[in-house]
Amino acid sequence: MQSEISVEAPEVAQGEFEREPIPASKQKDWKSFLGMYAGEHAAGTEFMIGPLFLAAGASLYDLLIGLFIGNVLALLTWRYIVAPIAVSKKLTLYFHLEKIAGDKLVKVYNIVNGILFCFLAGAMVTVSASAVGVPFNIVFDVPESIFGFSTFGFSMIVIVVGLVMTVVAAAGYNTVAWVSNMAAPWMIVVFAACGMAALYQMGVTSFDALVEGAFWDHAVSVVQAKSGKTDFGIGKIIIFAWLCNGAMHFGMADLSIMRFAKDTKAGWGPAIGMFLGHYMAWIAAAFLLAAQIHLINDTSANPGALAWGAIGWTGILVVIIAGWTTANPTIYRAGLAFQSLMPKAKSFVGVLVAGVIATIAGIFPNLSAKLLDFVGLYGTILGPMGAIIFVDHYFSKRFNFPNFFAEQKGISFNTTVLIAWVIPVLFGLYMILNQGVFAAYMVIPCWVASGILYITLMKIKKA
Amino acid sequence: MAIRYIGIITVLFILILPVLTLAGALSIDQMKWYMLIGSILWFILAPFWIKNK
Repeated sequence: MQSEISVEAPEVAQGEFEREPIPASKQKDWKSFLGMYAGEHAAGTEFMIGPLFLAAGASLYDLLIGLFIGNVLALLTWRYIVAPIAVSKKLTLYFHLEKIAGDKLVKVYNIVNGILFCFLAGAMVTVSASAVGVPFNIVFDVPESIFGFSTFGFSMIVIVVGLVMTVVAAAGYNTVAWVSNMAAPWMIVVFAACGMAALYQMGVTSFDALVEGAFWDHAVSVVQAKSGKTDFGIGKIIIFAWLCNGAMHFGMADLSIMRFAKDTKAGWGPAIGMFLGHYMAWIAAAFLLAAQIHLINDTSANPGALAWGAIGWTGILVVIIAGWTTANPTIYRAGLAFQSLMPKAKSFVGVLVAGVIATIAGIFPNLSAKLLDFVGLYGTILGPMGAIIFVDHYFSKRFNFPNFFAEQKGISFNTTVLIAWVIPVLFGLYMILNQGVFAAYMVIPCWVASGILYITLMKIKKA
Repeated sequence: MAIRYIGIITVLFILILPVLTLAGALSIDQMKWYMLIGSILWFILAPFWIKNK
């Protein structure tokens, strides 16, 4: 079935098959996805996320167990939710959604999606720029206002870094995959090296001292003495680790990447990225902050400065490259979103637009400082569309409604999809912004609600 | 093929440096400089065997 779709794919009009199934000759072995995801998830942002757990007062035990469980759940979500649909249809998220929701509604979704991805990529540009600034002694300070500037020098560095990232992303998937593949093994060992160097700086040179965790407790007490006590238990750690990439797996954004897969084994592709990037790297980054507190009593989590303090110039390199290899696929995804708004344009045009927006976003450092709330928020906003794709794929026959409804009926705006998407999202946003619920907590309830609502509305429509 | 093995050894070299520091066999300043050399070597070698297909 899959090969039939691929073999029968007409001659592609554009370089990266935005509106066609991926032909068999262009499909990639699952191992290609290991490097791609390893590069993406062993990212510059890990230097920001890791210290959060320490700052929030998580115990070392909860962190080790909670991250493990959360990452297993995330991996299973990619393998069993995303990969089967991606391999079966071999379409981008946007083209897939167009067949269900209609091209006009997808344009609305694409704008939301692309902009959110741009802000995410912008945060990664900021992280890379923070490292570039360290050798030049250019300060990376976070202004009070969301749209406040840092120093002029830092803004200039962001622009240069952002433009370089954009040009590389515009070169296409193969170039992105190549850079990520090349950097991934090095980056992972350097992340590990950061953690070990930090332990050395804290005098934790034996396994017993590591298990005892006194260095961790001390750092937590210093941070909380300055910033106040917060609660971050094992449940919250599990949910965060599972759903921080909710837009990618539950939201099906990674259909655009996994459509290149030969088979569903590609769903295991994020494994290295998860356990080295979102496990080892987060823990190593947390150790970096603990070491900085131990050495100079500084609780600020400046990614470039943290890595510089532990391993010197290699730390600068790793933060720049880790930010770069993460921003690349994110800009690429956003570019695909914008590309779907202008199908006749060359494929790099959408990526260039996304890169420019990401660079502008990167100029405002406070956006990256809000990264943890942001990833939960974007999972809540984008995730429900993944639920609609999911129920359309698996339950349309069972509940006797047509799949690819918009394509079959020849409509350009499927209001059923709009209602099923927007109502749960509005509820989720209300809970997050008004009731103060941790953003990642709303991803799954909104996802499930959207799926159920879509099935219900389709049944009512048919009746 | 030889370049590939040298590349793998380079990565292992980078990984072993902080272990040596933890063991007290290498100062942290030495570790930092050797790590930079290993990193540069990696990016010189990697394009030879990790191809842009």
